[in-house]
Amino acid sequence: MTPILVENLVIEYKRAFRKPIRAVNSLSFQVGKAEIVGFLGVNGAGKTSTIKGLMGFQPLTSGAIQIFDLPVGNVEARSKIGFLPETATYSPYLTPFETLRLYGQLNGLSGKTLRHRIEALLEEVGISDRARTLNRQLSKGMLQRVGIAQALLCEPRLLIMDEMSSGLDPVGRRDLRDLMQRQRSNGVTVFFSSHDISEVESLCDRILVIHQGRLIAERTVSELRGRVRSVEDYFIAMVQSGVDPLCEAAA
Amino acid sequence: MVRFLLALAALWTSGFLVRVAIPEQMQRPENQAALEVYEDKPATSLVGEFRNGLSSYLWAKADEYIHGGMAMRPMTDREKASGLAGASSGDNVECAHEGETSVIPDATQDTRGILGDWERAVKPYFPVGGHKHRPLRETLPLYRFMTWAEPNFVPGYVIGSFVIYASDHNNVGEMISFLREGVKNNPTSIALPTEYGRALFTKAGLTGPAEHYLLAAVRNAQRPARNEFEKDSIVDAYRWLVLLYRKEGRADLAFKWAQQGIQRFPDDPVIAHTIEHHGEDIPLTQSD
Amino acid sequence: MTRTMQICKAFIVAGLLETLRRKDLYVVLILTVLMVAGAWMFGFFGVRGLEVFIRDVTLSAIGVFSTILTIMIAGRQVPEEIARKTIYPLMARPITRWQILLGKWLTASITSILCFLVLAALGRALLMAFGIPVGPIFYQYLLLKQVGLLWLSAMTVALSVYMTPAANITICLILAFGSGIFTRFTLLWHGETGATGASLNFLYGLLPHYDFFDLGAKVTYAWPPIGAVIVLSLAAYGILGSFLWLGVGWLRFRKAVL
Repeated sequence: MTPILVENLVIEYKRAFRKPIRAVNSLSFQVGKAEIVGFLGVNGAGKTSTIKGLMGFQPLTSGAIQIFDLPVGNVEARSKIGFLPETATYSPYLTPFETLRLYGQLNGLSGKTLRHRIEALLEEVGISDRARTLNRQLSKGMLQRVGIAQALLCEPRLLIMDEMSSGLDPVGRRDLRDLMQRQRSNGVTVFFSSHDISEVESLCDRILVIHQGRLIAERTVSELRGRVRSVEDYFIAMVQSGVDPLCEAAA
Repeated sequence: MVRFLLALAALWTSGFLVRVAIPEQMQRPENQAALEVYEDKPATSLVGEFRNGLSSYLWAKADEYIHGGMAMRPMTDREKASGLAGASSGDNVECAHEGETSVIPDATQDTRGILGDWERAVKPYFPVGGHKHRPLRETLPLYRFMTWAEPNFVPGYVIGSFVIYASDHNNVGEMISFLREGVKNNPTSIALPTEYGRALFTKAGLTGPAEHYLLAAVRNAQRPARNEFEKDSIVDAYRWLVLLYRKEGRADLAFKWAQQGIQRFPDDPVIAHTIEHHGEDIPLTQSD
Repeated sequence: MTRTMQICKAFIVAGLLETLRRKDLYVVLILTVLMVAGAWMFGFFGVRGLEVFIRDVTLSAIGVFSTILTIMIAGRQVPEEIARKTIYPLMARPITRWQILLGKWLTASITSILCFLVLAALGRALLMAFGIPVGPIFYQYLLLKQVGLLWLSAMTVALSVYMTPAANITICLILAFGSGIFTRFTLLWHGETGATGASLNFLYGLLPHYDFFDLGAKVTYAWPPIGAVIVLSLAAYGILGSFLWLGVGWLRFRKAVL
């Protein structure tokens, strides 16, 4: 079963009396089991639209997405996904514990199993001491940790994360990287978008670069390490020219 | 007693505070200067609209009260032409029902099926022909509130005083004090001094003060009446003044005011009767 | 079905916690304090002869406050999740959009009904304190009003996915308070027959009838209880109407871009 399979994906936003905006254009890629894939692109490149498409939040204009060989939006497929949204906001009137309990119950968990799972996750993301504090009293970084905990709540086989380390301090980023590595070693696939190139470089097996809605590069990190001076320079050169410099050099 | 005084003090203080906080908005349009404020200050006009709207709502509500919550409406021309029987009283309560029917149609006239049946079940409804009324006293708080909300609402004072008396004939003192408040708040009214004078004359036997207010009503009637309600009271002002003088045996004054009245109301039988029998000793009759 | 009930329960528990913490119930308490203060003033002047008026004021206050609270509570259920982007972690769960809508409706309904019951209990206690009877129709009033609040919540939640929160709340307030007035306009033509009459009856059937769930006027004027068949048929109409409204909401929500 392929965790993510995207074929000729087109996503357009309709506008009244005007031409629709095409956010994603003929995008195709796939992500294999226990892979960590970074999804890169400048602001407005189409990353979040693609992730919304993967989660079924955004209707597809054309093309197809399959999650574990099931059509996107399928309830069974979603039971295997852990999702971290771009902006980590959770009900300001609930505590992290109550937030996770709500999401756990929606995932079909209950009773002691759910309570133990929540306690373990809050410990793992480092906010067990704030479990009973209202979300509105938490910092952005702490809310991001709540977000990571809710994404891991249902023991997912696929993690989809939009701007995963947003708001985290350097220690938090390192902890998160370790956590993702542990998830991978448990057979979990990780697909995430980020603007932090060093994070992508240190964590990913593969990167996908999207520019103006099109996929312009798909490289393994080990391949890049041998061919470019720095992944950051490679990325900047690519988004400035709109083509993969390695392809250009080969031509 | 202490509690009563406390409540009175609280009411007075809140009223005072409202007037201090928004003096212009609470101004009544009873003279030219005040009317100009209404023209110039939108907030004053708005508060005035609210007071007027509230008193009109309570006025309409009073009709619902005596009909157990059932709303009435005038009949349409088509209903009148079709000969549909309108509402009529089945008891002694004086309630003008001419050309009225219920808002919720009778089952025989209703084509809404089950929705109509539901509405007749959940809302106050009864067939309007020969219907009975609830006690008038239940409407008393409405008249109290409508005249508090809009002290220039003359019909509220007049009908309210009638309801006070009709609900208990021992309430003469309350009726008179209610009318006194109305006269104080509406010094240019015709209907209120007429009604007040009549009450002092017929219910309290105070002919001196009654004469004073009936004369004031006639004086006010020299100016154009503000509305139909006020206009309809002019004849009563002349009539009661004439009757008062006749009762007191002051025939010349009765004749003088009857002569003035007959010029405006040549068909009025009471005034005409007084002129025809000038110089005779005419006792007041039941019809008078 | 069990799964859907589990989902709804999760929404309701979280919703009630939110309601408690965002101090919605404080609003109810403030309103009840106002009611008590109003009644206290009547107490000074004596209540003899004011029975109908006090019942009228109490039931009108309960009706108005519970309607406004219901619309405010139901009107924010879905839009607030979208505005603060908490809809994404919700939608990422293995639940359908229909289940989200259903859960949100039940959360709004139960919260509103709780607020209504608090107000009604206080109103009843005040009337009892003044020695003003209400009669058995009061319990029919309680029952039908709760069905009405289910219906009103469904309408508000459904329309909230079509328009902005401000527009939705305005429209719902107009529909709730104007339901009796709008339908009365069609009644003025009740003498019409043929196609016009049928069209007017159809329009009448289409218009919302929130006023059918309010026995407040009958309680005020101490009418006898209404037939059980009417109560049951109205309850069925209210529940059916609620699901119809939810269906209208789902038509939009199932494919809404979030």
